[in-house]
Amino acid sequence: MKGNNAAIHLTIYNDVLSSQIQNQVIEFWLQHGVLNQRAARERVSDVLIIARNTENKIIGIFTYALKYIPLLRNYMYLIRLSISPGNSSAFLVLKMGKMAYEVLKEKAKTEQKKPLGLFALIQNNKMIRKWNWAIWPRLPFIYIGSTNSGHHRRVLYFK
Amino acid sequence: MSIDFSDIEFKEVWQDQKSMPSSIDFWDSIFEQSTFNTQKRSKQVVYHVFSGKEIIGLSTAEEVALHNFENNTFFNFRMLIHPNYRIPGLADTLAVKTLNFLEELHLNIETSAIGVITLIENKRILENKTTVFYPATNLMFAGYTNKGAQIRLKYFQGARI
Repeated sequence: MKGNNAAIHLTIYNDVLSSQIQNQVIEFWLQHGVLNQRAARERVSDVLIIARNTENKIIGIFTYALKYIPLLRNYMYLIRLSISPGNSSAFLVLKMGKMAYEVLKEKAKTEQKKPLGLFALIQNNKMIRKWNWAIWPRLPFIYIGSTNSGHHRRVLYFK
Repeated sequence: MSIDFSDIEFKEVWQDQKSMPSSIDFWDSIFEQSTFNTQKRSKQVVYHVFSGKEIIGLSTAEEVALHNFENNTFFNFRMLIHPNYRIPGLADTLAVKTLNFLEELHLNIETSAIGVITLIENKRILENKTTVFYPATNLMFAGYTNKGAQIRLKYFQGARI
């Protein structure tokens, strides 16, 4: 799939997932060791975008949750992205990130607890090293420091 | 006191030893007893602001390595304008000039700093300036310290962590 970006299909989910898709999502997370069964069942309602390959297999999942971030003393959409090994490409990350930004920017207008933007915790060491711009160039998430565990905090505020 | 903005002049004094005593005099004229080492900070002054021959404000930048930012170096930016001269636009102009000067240092590889960071403690500013990016300077909201000061930062062009 890497290098065959045109073959990736992204779908936005604004409503509750069908039980069939829920099972596919949970299976994806379990298969790739992203989450355990319990956490996967809890997070499945947070799915916003699913990326699939030409065989209709899930290769990436983007989730969001409205969370109060103590450091910022504000609400943000905490976003998480999981991509299956071998499918991780800048194209896919950027495509899903940009799509999510546009959708969540509109959704934020309807929230009672107004989020300022997107908040991401980058845990993947390879990504931390490779994507080390203070402001990512094509999807301008801004680095606002690291956690004690060395994970990078990044924000993308709504305009 | 009525002051015309056109009478205000900005003079860059970065690492200019001759200007250091006048910076200390300025602080002494405002604070009965300063809470910082004026001698040390006089070496960090970037701009003097003049009204006629009188210094009415200044900006400083201190290089600091931040543990929470992978030990990257930032300029800790501060500025002070004499209470009698707080005219609209003066603080923003001083801040923009200072940030531009510091960015030039970065672009000319004269500093290892990757950006500017500043702590906002003034309640009036905290209440009145609430945008995530300050319009004039583009200083971005980056959270709060444990002591409750607001963190604002701006990265220089091409900065990497």
